[in-house]
Amino acid sequence: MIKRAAVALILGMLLAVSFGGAAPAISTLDDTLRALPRITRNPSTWPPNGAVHRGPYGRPNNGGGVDSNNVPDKGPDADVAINPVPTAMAPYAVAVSEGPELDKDFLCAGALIAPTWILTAAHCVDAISRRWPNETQGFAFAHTARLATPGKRFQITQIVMHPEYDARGLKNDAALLRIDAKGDAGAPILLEGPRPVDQVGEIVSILGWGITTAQYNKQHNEELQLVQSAILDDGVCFGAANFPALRGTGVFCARTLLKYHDICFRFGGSPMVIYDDQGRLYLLGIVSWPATCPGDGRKPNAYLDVQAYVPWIKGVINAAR
Amino acid sequence: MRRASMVSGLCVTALAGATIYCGIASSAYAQSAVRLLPTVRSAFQQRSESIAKGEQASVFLGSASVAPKNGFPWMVSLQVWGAPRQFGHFCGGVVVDPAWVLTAAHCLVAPGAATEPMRVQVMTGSNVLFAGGKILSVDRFVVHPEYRVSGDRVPVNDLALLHVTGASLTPVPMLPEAAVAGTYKEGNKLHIFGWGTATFRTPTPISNNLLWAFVDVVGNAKCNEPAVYNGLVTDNMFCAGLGFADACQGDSGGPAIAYIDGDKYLAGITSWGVGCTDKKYPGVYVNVSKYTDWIRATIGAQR
Repeated sequence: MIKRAAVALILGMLLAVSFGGAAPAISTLDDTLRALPRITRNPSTWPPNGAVHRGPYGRPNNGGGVDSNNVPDKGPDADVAINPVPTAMAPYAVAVSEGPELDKDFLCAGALIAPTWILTAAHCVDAISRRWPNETQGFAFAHTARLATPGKRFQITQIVMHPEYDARGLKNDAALLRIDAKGDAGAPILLEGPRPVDQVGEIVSILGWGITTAQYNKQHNEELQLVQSAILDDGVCFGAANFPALRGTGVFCARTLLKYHDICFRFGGSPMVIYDDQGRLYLLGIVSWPATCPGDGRKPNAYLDVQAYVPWIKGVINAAR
Repeated sequence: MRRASMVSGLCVTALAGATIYCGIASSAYAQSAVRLLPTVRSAFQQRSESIAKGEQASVFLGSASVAPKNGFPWMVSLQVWGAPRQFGHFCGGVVVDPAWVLTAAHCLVAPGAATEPMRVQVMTGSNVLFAGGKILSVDRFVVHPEYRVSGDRVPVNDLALLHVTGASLTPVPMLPEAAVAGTYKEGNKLHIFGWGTATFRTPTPISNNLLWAFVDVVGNAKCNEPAVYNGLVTDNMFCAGLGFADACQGDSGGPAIAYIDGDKYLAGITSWGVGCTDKKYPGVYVNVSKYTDWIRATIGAQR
């Protein structure tokens, strides 16, 4: 069976190519520094917080730092998972499947935002929402370290697509899934916090079970992994080199900190989280479509701006009470 | 390039094959993971002697994964008082009470050579050594009364508490009793933090940016096999990080964090190991759950 999520992602890639055009990619340090108004030109402040990867898996440090012409650094070899994390670190990260067997039927990741509600990308559940509930079933799995060893399973009891979801342009790519949990799905992620525009230059974490390099066959893609990116300024995000057609459509851009790793297939719907000023982790974005999959570490990706959808999310949840 | 000017960190003492992470070791020593240290010096001593000789720690943009801001308010850097911040760092530490920082004893003291509390400063509130945050002074230490460096040059009861003045810090909670067994179980992933070096062998500089990594717990039985640490790892220590990410020089005293349903708890303090990211020798951490009574009693008695 062809994975519908993968088809949607491929569609996203094609769209990205058509939006991106032939304009030059943001690739040099200077371009990047110009793009991030809050980061000074002091080279020691780029990448934000010095985001240069040294190869945490015992590979020798390749120098790092802006002087080594290595921004961002290359990260671990392509054949290892980037940062496998414990599920207890991200109890809000859930895996969504079309059938009861997660490793066979995995669709996308999602974020638990209330005890019985999951936010995911609409493109992930677009296909099943048409046949649901009579012809198919949906499930969500909490506490899943690997797709092959799923955690607690919940049945999806309601699918709410964003009413203005536009599959062609992948606009308003948000869907809410209600599950039959009774407070036992884990700790939900805080939904509200500062907007992406107030977090430009900061580091975000994306959690999902996807592929991060072009070397799919070698990759440990079934483990829950953490990918770090930095939030880009809207001027760059919607500039000619990137996604001019997406301005005002409820997305923002972030760029991977690694040279050879970025979110790719199977990261659709994955939660992107960041800390607020009080040190509380909250949901900033949802992976909508990896535009540069496999990533080359230079082009940004567009993410669903969750904060722009909070009123809709709250409306749906309150109406269901 | 003057090798002697380079800093490498996690103070590791060595027996035939074992190295103890000092905060920052001399580069000559750092060349070999299997050489015996002629004398055991504290991380503080080594860093201050190096500063006194006019040697600067070169500082570079970090590696591993970079910690985002605001998420880890209990992570602190211990520094030589008065030295420029990025050069003064010698160890990590973790806030366990609004006025108390827990670190490794070997960061502060070596047998027969105490460090004066006023010569140490604590940087809090920033992930970046050279910018932001606050510098706090320290008015006293309490080193674990049974801290010693064994005949095999392994630090035992490697904990110390520092009392900082003029600030109310955000502590990390201690591990709940019910979670202890699961936390130190083989294969459990712990989150480690530090400004330490990337590699042990080469004299790489410390990181300007707080880095993190996940390490898998290695069971004490496996860690104590003759080919590994051969019985040196006591029940009050645990091993983690085999061949993948690891703590390294300058990470000593920093925390190993366990997650329970999204919340962070203190599981360990970075202490010693052979080399860094060695495929055979994992890092060794103080099992903080064995010392909660001492920590609570000490803080209570000193109030």
